[in-house]
Amino acid sequence: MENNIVLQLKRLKTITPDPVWNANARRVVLASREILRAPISSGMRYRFLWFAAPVLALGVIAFVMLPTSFLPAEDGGLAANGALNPQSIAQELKGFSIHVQIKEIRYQETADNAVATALSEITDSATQHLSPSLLKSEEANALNLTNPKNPSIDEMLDTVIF
Amino acid sequence: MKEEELLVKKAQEGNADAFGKLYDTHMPRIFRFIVLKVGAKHDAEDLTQQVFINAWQHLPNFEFKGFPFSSWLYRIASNAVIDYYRTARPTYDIEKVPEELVARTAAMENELDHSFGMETIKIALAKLDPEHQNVLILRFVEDRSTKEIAELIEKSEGAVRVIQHRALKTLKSIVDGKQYRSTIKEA
Repeated sequence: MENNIVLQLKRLKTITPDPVWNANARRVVLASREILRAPISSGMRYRFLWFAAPVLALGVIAFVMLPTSFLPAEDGGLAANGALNPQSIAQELKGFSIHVQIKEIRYQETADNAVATALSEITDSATQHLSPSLLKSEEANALNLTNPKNPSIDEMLDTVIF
Repeated sequence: MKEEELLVKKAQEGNADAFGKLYDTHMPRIFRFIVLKVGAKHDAEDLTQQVFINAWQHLPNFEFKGFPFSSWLYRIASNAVIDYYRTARPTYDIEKVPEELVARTAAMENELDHSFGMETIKIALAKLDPEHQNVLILRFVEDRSTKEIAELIEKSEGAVRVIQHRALKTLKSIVDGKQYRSTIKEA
């Protein structure tokens, strides 16, 4: 039986690879060393820097920002710890809303005054002389430039010439 | 200097034709060694190709130390199979070593003992541990010397003979049906 097993093992020598695969694999194997040994042009050599630049920039930012986040705060604790304290955050938020409300009230007052002034000016007949169109019409009527016999024109010319 | 040593020297100097000849000589046996250990044809093809790519890349580091060039290739192949099982964790399938790879001849068919065939041997071989597989494949399928196998598996020649004896005994017990029948039931 053992001899039979050995005989069967020897028969496994007949296992052979697929010839089509063999031809392709041979080409790939022989080309692999040439690909790896191909010289790198100077342009290609530093091409990776384009990919590395953003990473380096982020690294520099992190390098600068992180230590400053942990500088001691005024109360002696760390600034980052203070900023993360929920009580101080709640206090800041309360103060923030009050300031916003006061600013809104002041704005409303100013706007109301401006609107009231504008309305009073429109309705007040005493201030009509401030209207540019009215002034222009008054000036034209006073000089009566369209009338060639207007004596005031002669007077004005005499003043200019003599 | 032997012809193979000359080819290796030329290949080490970057001669692709020389390495091509080495490839033609050794690739079928490396493929056979791998396919008997991993079973799946496509995986065996990929691994074989990778073995020769690695050999071609690292050939300048190779030195003859009294063993044939094939020992070095078997070592690379053995490591590739170990990595394959470490990463892929595949399971050996009965159908994995395809019949079309086995070039049967009429003479062989006549000689075949019908009590058990090559399929049984393949299944039984797959059930052995990797070291027993290595010894049986290298000794009986690839006709390697005990000395060469000892160098390859980093054991003494005496240890190789012991492993060979135990591997054959285990294989026999599997073929006898003690383990084979239980495998079929489980399947």
